[in-house]
Amino acid sequence: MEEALIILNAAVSGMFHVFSWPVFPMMMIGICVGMFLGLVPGLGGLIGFALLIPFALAMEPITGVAFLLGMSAVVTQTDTIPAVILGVPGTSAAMATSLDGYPMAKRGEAGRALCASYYASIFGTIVAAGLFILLLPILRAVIFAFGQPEFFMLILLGLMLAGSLAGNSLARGLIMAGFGLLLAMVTLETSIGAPRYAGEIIYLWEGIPLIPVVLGLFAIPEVLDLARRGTTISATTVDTRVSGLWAGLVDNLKNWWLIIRASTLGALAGFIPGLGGQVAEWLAYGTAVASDKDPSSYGKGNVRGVIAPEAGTAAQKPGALVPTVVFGIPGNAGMALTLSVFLIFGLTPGPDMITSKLDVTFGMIWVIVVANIIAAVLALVLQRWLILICYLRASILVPIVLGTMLTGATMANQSFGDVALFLCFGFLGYLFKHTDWPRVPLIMGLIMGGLAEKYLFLSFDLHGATWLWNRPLVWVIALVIFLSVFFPPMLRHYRAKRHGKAGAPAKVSGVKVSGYDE
Amino acid sequence: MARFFDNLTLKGSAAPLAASVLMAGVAAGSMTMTGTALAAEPDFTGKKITFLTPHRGADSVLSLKTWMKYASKNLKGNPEITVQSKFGGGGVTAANFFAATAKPDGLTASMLNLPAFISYSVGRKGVKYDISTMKVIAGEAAVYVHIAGKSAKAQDASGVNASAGEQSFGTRSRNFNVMTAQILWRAAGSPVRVVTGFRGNDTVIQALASGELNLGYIYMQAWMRNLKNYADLNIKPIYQMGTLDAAGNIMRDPLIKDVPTADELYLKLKPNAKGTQDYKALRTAMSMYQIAKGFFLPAGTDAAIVNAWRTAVDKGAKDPAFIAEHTKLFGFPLAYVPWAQASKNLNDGLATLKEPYFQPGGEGYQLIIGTRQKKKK
Repeated sequence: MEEALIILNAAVSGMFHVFSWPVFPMMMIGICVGMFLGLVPGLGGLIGFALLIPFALAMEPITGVAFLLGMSAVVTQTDTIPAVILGVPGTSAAMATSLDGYPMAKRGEAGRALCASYYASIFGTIVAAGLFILLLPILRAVIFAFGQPEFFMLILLGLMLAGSLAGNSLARGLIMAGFGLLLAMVTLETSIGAPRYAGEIIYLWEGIPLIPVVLGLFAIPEVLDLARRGTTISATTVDTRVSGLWAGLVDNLKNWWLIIRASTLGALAGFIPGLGGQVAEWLAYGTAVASDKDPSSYGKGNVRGVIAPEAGTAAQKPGALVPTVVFGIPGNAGMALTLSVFLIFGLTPGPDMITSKLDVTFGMIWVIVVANIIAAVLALVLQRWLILICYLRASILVPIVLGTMLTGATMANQSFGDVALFLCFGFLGYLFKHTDWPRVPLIMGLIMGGLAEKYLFLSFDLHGATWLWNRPLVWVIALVIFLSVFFPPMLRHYRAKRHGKAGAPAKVSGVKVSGYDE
Repeated sequence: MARFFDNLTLKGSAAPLAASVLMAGVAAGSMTMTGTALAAEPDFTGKKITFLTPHRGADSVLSLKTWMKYASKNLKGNPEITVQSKFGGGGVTAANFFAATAKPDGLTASMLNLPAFISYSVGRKGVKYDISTMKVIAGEAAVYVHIAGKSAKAQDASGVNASAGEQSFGTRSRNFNVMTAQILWRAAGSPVRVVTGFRGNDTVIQALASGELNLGYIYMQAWMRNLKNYADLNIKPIYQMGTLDAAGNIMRDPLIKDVPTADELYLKLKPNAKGTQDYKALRTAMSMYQIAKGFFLPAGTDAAIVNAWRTAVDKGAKDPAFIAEHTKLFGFPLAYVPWAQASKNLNDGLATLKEPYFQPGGEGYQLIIGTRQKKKK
């Protein structure tokens, strides 16, 4: 009882930090910057950190931290906007959202999809904050229960889910994921740092850069099709942009159990260092599809396909903060930069952060929660105009979008290689789109290939082959992979046979998510 | 004159003594040159200077930006110095870019890191720069602490012995820290098993804390800032790489005086090993970390410009306001190495790396870079 009061007291003190002067106005500035970075495909949180850290360091520690966390917390909220409106994920963490969000926009439900995503983000962070409170006593055991083999299996799960859920065919999805894995092999080889498939092209030594590939694969095909059609994005002339506010909330409330499950998975993925938003997103999307009576509706504009990944990705943010502040082990690249800033500010990570400095930790978590709420309100205000993009003529929209995407693609490296990759993958993306080869698994393979390789080699180097049979968590995750990826098509095949449809060609597929890849 | 000093190389066992004599001469020469340069001091008024760095981490870039703010005050005209990150290729991207684009007008400078020096020395593919012709203007040292996780049999320096058995040693890729661990533990009779592929310090710490990994290493400043945290995770220091004094002796870093150096432990295990190749390799590792970062102007830069820069960065580094600001930001002062010492350390190191021991096929090459595993026929 006494412990609960201490936690409650720290939670309240943390909330006071957030609304104190000048923490709140600085957080607001951070939020505005973060919203802009999420909105423009190709930018994102890491660029935000690079831009804002010099300003943050001139502030008082808690103000500076709120400024930076405010920025990073909302990037994944506004990255939904291009994912839904244009079908182009603003960051790689919005790919699953675009699978169902873009089809919704096409049928004139962009407002509903966006509002559903904002509410899901808010609920996701709240659930993550609640989980943090609940898990405080066993946090250490949870975080250190995972080793390299479990990391590898979780990466594999994320990859398999992406391969099986994004597209018409399980086989095609897995082939594209394999193609992505092959692309991820282009880098410096792990053990001796020698170039692998990169030759003397130093541009490729750090791997094929993700942003030009994502933007090329998704933006160019959509823009070309739009130019060819010469119409607007939305196929309907009925403007439903105002109706989304209420409909999005109702969608969330109806799916409260899905939100809790997706957020829990997202927060747990955040607790574990090195996994990141993409895994959280696909675990959440996977749970939505697996628990739905009509899995075939995903990819065609099922709002649950928007809610689950948004809640998962949002919950991952406060989740990733926990190992960063408690153990000094950053959960992702953004948190690594945040950790540097914490240390510069004299905020030393450690067990103190969940004992004597618990109010500061709560302050950070509340910043993420409050930032998401504020960003949602701001986005709702802006939405009225943003959705107009769906109703703009192609002749106006195409050059603007192409220019923005090209700028975004080259922003990080400022290299001609970015332009070449952008165009090359744009061509491939167009081919893939029109021949029904899903593009999302390719990106997931590229993102997770490097991680999967490292964790696989580390697993064998540290544990030999024994990790394959003597680690219970590995078996649990393997079972989840089987049940979520391979079992559903097997079950459908069996049912079809049982109902006398065995004569029809038995197409072994995933959950038949058609997606905008159709 | 400056080029002569830049390219001067010391070899053999007389190096420490010769180094002391040389340092005195260099210092005198430097003062003379500074005096000469003052007469024709280059004017940077209204100019914009770009300082390249191969790093993109907040700490490293911020440290350089802060330093350059003070260096600018000591360049005539107080030019604006912009720090630009050219990340990639283990430092080779920045070095190649610098060599290909920088004009010898003092308006472009670059930090190059140790992996770029190693790549240059062993002639790796893709290297298109020649460090020997670049002008050193300063250096920055790095000290590393080798640490043990809760599952390691050795929990402190006394555990470096034959009873430790085989332990895993985690790292991102092979380097001089790995070489040091391999030589030291081999001497102790408990060879380590090197596990490459960790993403960075954070993942090594996670693996040490979870008990999956036995040994690793960490940048000393990061260790100092997280002391309490790491103690809570049962991670302990075993030995440090140490620093070099002006006479070339390996010393314990004053910030972790109670942690012995690898050199001390090695000589304790093998008191008569000073003339061996292993000991020489160990010393090379330690001295190379004295120039973990080098700061350069392009080849062919006029001596007056080079001197103006050397003076400016030197005054900037020694400015009490800079020391106070850097200490406030990071908790420790910049590990500044003046250009003459940096140049000497670099040339010594590059010369050693050119020896067959560190070239492809040599044992040193295997230890710091590794080789592909050949399939058994």
